[in-house]
Order: sequence, then structure tokens, then C-alpha cells
Amino acid sequence: MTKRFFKSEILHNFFHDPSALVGSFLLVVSILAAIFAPLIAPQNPYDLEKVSLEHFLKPPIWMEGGEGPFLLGTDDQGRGILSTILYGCRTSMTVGFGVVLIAGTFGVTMGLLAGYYGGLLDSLTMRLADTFFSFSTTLMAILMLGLFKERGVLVVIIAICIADWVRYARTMRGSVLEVKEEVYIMAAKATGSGDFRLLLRHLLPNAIPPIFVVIAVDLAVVIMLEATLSFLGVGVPLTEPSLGMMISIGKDYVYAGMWWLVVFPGAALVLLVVGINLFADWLREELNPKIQR
Amino acid sequence: MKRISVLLLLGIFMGTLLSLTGQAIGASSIVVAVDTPPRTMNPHGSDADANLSVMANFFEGLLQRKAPEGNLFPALAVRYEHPDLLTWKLYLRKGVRFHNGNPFTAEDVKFSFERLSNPDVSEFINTGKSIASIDIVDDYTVVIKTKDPIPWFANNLHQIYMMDKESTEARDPGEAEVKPIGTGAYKLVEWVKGSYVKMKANEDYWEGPPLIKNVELRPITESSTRFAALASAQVELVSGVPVELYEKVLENPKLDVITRPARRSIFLALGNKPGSPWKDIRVRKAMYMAINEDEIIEKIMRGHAAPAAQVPDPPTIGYNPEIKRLAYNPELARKLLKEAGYERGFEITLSGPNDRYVQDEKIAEAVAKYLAKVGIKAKLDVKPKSIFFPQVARGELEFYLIGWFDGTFDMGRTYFKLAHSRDAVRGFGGLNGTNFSDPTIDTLLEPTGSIVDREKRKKVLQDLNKMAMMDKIVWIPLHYQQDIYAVQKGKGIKFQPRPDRWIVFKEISK
Repeated sequence: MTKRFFKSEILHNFFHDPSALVGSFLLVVSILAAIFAPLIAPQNPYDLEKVSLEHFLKPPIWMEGGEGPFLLGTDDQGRGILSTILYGCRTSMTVGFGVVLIAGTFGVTMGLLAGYYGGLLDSLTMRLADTFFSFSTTLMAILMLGLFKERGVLVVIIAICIADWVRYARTMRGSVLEVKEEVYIMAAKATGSGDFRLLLRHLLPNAIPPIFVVIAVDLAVVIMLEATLSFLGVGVPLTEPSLGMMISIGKDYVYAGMWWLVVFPGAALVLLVVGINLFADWLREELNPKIQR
Repeated sequence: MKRISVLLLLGIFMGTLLSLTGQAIGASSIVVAVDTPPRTMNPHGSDADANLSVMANFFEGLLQRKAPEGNLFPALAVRYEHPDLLTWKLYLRKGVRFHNGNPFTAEDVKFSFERLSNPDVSEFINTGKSIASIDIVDDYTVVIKTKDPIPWFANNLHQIYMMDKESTEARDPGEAEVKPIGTGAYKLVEWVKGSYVKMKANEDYWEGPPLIKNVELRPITESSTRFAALASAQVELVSGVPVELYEKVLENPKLDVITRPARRSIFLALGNKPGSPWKDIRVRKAMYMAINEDEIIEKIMRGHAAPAAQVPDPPTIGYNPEIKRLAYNPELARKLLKEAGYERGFEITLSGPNDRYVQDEKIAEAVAKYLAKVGIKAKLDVKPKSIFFPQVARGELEFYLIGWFDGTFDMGRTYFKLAHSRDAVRGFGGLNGTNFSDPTIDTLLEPTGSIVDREKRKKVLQDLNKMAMMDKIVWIPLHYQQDIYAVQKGKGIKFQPRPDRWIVFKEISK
């Protein structure tokens, strides 16, 4: 099995596609940075006892006035930019994967059921999805956040999930409708498979490949969305790290010439999202049967 | 042929460009950027100074305050008498007309004061409810009686704006929210909520027509955008230059910077709920001493603030120069906490607005940091002012950052509103957002209402202030703000900032 995988066409294509390599490299680096942030960050920028105003607005270390351990300088509360980016990546990743997992599971289940049973359930789910789609996801998430009294990463995840699950439901339903008509499904039905078996054993595995592409694209969208919400001040609270929040704090200092407050977190966000998108592009081409290499 | 049309196009393009730039602000016009948009054009609809500032151009009170010191001058009343503790007799100015041509008379005064106690249209409920009766003696004489003695009654008259009875009653209530009809030096031309307010001079103004004929007021809440508008000369005067950009404005040869110590103090209100750690005076002192205010001023305010030891500012009656700040001393703070039995600290929620005062959110963040260093875990709860202030008014918070300056220059009013135990019936403690309650302060404060003699009043309030700040630590004072303005150089703009930060256009010339 493993041997077959290593010799497979997918892997061969992967190693011969530079954008896939760059994309997954960026993605892996970000994931590692997020996981090991407490170990590699020079400072824990959100431990209130450690951060001090003494070190506020220091430029990056190679500029005059820069000092260690703040390699990329500090912000107006004395937090190291590099450390904050590493911790911010953590929030981005938590929100990104959290939403993909929760919204994905829920959306796929809804899409599967709607596509298979049709009828009232299908109409209801899809009209609901239409309603959700007629709002932009950002607006929807802001509306949802307005309903919560508490603030926090979990609340952001839930709010984005509520706005985001329809993508998965839509794609899954379409895919199920296509697969449902295949001969092997008919055969399974004819041999007396129950609904449960049919859904899990036959429909789900055969209808799910397009979802992988949705996951990859959605991960980037969600990470951007979290940054947007935090930038607008409705996302994670001030006391938790976020790339969007850093950019929001830094923008007030751009005219004052303190570019490092915006440029580094901005670059980190761009690299992260570009990485995911490159990977998603490759995945889409790979899983699309219409594109022959 | 092709070349000609290209040239023609280029010509048209350049022409438009020139005419656009040529449309620079004219000599008798001014464009001003402020940091907070007005919420309503109903003069009683908001007691926020950002709103009162705009209203001061359309409406007038019976008295007015003038730049630069904010001293009281006659306006719609020419003089007043105060025959006994409860009675105020006002003589009105004759021959003043509203923007719609209606004459200003005693009927309008009675109507305007009565309107204050209608919660649908007024945020001056306390003032409205403190009035017992309004009697019209003749068309130009009014006698107002208050329920309790209010020594600062006259000091408040500059911000109780007079409305036209006839047109306000005849019009739909919604229209009064958007179309102001006052006696002021300017008439409204157009208001696009959140974008701009355009005004034109009232040529029949009783003080004589103002010098600047057309005004455009642009609220720009985003600080860097406000700076950009100034740097690109789209606006000529900015109120609220962001502190982080102060040096940039100073370096710019085309701009002049005007600073003025502000009246507003920023402080932390701390409740004293029975059973809470912060009921203990040692804990209150420890929290005070844990905060490094000098560092906040130097780093967060970038030097644009002065340390405060009390809430009222020096010109306010009751300001006591003997009150000194407790010095920053984290070691002693830790010792006091240990003595009080909170060696391992405790948790407290620090609330505050994030769009109201200069660097408000950042100050709160720094305070949380200082408290963490002596072991107190302060949970930050900063939010937009639209959510925060109603919570203060409802008394739902335990510890918060807020700013205050008393428009009446009287500390008695400040204490009645902020420190007296909450008492909805008598209208006390309306902005005591932590439910702070101390019987000693209440009993000392209540009789001060009937002291009218200025010297005696000053002495009593000063003693009360000292006791409250030093023995009780009612509040943890932080600093007095500094107001920063910038104007375009070489346009001959003469502008004097006011202590209340209002921008009154009849005081500006160009």
C-alpha cells in the first residue's frame, strides 16, 4: 500500500510541480511555527507579567535603536513583532482548521442527506444555503459575532462556521446528485443495501473528492476572514494574538514611519494565504478528471 | 487627426484637473476635520461634547462660554438674578430671531426647559427633573425654580440650547432630529450622517454675521486618515491630531500645531462591592501604586498628558492642590496585597471604551499589564463607546477607565453624578457605573448643594475631595489629556482652542 502510494502518479506530479512544492513548504512552515510557537518565540507577548512598555516601538534589530531579543522590532505595547506573529499564526491556524473541521463535517453531512433524500429536506437546506449565500461571508460573520456576548477564539470559530458551512453543503450535494446515478449505486441498491450503508460506504467516499479542494481553498478564506474580523475589531479580543489585530494596531503608525508594525504581520499573512492557495490550486488540478496532464 | 484628438483629450483632462485643484477652499470658507461624528441634530438629544460642539453653531443657550478661557458671557439672556437658593430670574435678549424667522421669547425658554425631561428627545433628564417650575413673567422675563439648591445652575446654561416652540411642536419629531432651527450664527445646509455637516452663515445673527460664510465639518474617525486629509490639504483645521503622528505634523512645514492642556481627566473607577477584595483600602492603594503613570504618559501618550492626582481640573471649584499622587511602587503594592490577604492576587474585569479618549484602549491594556506584575489578573473588556457608556449608566461594571470634565466648573456636580450612591429617585449617582457607595461621602456631599458663597463652597469641596481621594481612593486618577490641533499655514486662519474642545465657528476668522 505504502509502496504503491510512493510510486503513485499524484506524488510524482507533486514533486514535479514547483508551485505545489512552494505552497506546501509555506504551509508546513506555518503549521510548525504555530505548533511550536511557545518554544521558538523569543518572548510570550501575551503573558502580561513579562511584557513591558519599556521596550515599546523598537525598530527591527538591524536598524539603529533595535535591540535583542526583538528581531523584528516591537509594537506600542512592547510586544516583540516576531513573537506576536508566531503566536498570531497559532490563532490563524486554530481558527482555520477549527472552522474547516466543524463547518466541513456539518456541511458535508447536510449535503449528503439533501442530495440523497431530495424532496423537502433538499429544498429546505438549499433555500437556506441560498439565503446564506446572498450575504457576503464577512457580513454574515460580523452579524453572528454581534449575537455573542463573550469574545474569544471559540466564538470566532463558531461565528465563521455558521456563515461558512453552506459552501460544503452545496458542493457535497452537487457531487452526490452526480454519483447517485452511477451504475454501482444502483447495483448496491439492487443487492439490498440499507440507506445507512449506502450513504457511508458508497456515496460518501465516491462523492467526497471535490470537498478536498473546497477545504484547501476555504482554509485560506477562513484565515483571511479571521484576520479581517480582528482588523475590524470584532474578532478575537485584544488580549489574544492575531495577525489582523497586529495590522490594525500598526496602521496608525505607518504615517509615523514605523513600517515594521504593519509590514511583517502583513507579509506573514500573505505568505500563509499564498502558500495555501498554491497548494489548493495543485490539488484542484490533480483531482479534476477533466484536466489531463 | 488622431494626434489632435489625443491632444484635445489631454487638454480636457488637464483642464478638469486644474479646475479641480482650483476649487481649493475659498477665503470665506473653511473645512474642518474632527474625530467624532455628531449623532443627532436635536440639541437635547446627546450630552456628548462632540455633539454639543456642533450644536453650539446652530443653537444657543441663555449664556455662552467663549474662547480661550471658557468664561461665561450673556447670550440669549442679557442678565440673570439669583434672589434665593432655589430661584433664578432671567432677562431675555430682545429682537433675536430663529432661523425660520420666528421671534425668540419666554415661551421658547419654557418649552426648551420642559423638553429636557422628556426621555424620548433628551439626554438632559437630570437637569430637566431638577426644575420645579418655570414661570413666564412677561415676553422677555422668566423665573425658574429648582427643586433643590443647585449652585452650578447658571454654569450649565451655555449647553442648554433654546429651541423654537412653534416649529418644534408643528414639525414631526423625527424632523427635529435632522433639521436644526436655532438662533445660532450658522444655519444647516446639509448633513450626511457620518460624512459631513455643511453650514452657512446666519446673516441676521444678533452678534453680527460671522466672518466665515461657509463651513464644512468632516468627522474622520480613523486617525491615520485624519492625518492624511490634513497632509494633503483637503482640510484646513484638524481637531484631534493623533499622538503617534504629532512629530510628523510638527515636521511638516505647511502645518501649524496648536496644543492646549485639556480639562478632561482620565481615571479608573473602582467599585467597593461588599465582600470584594477591592473593598479593602489596602487593595485600593496597592492597585493605585502598581500603575506606572509616568510611563503611560511618556510611552502611550507620547508626552501629551499631565499626571492627575484627582478628577477635577485646576479651574474647577473643589480642585485641591494639596492632593498628591501615590507614587509608583510595585514592591509596596505587593506588600499591601499580602497584608490584605491577597498575596496570590485576584481576578477583576477592567472595562473601558476603545473609541472615545486618546489611546483609551492602549491605556487600559497597559494598566492590565501593571496589575499583572503585582499578581492581580485584570481581564480586559474594552468595547465601542455605544456599548460601554450605557453599561456605566446602568451601573453594571466593577472597574473601568473613563474620562470626565465638568462643563459647569463645579466639583459638586461631578461628585453627585460619579461618586454619590446610586439613587434613581433623587437623580444621584447616574454615572456611578460601579455602584460605588460610601455613606461618609454621601453625608458630607449632600449639604454642599446649599452652599452658594464661592469661597466657602471652595473650601468645603476641597476638603471633601482630599478626603475622598486620599482616605477612600474613590478613583485611581491617571492624567489630564492634552488637546492637539493642526492648521494649514499661510491661510491666515485665526483659531483659539477652547477648554471644552468645542469648535465654534463664529470664533474663527480667516
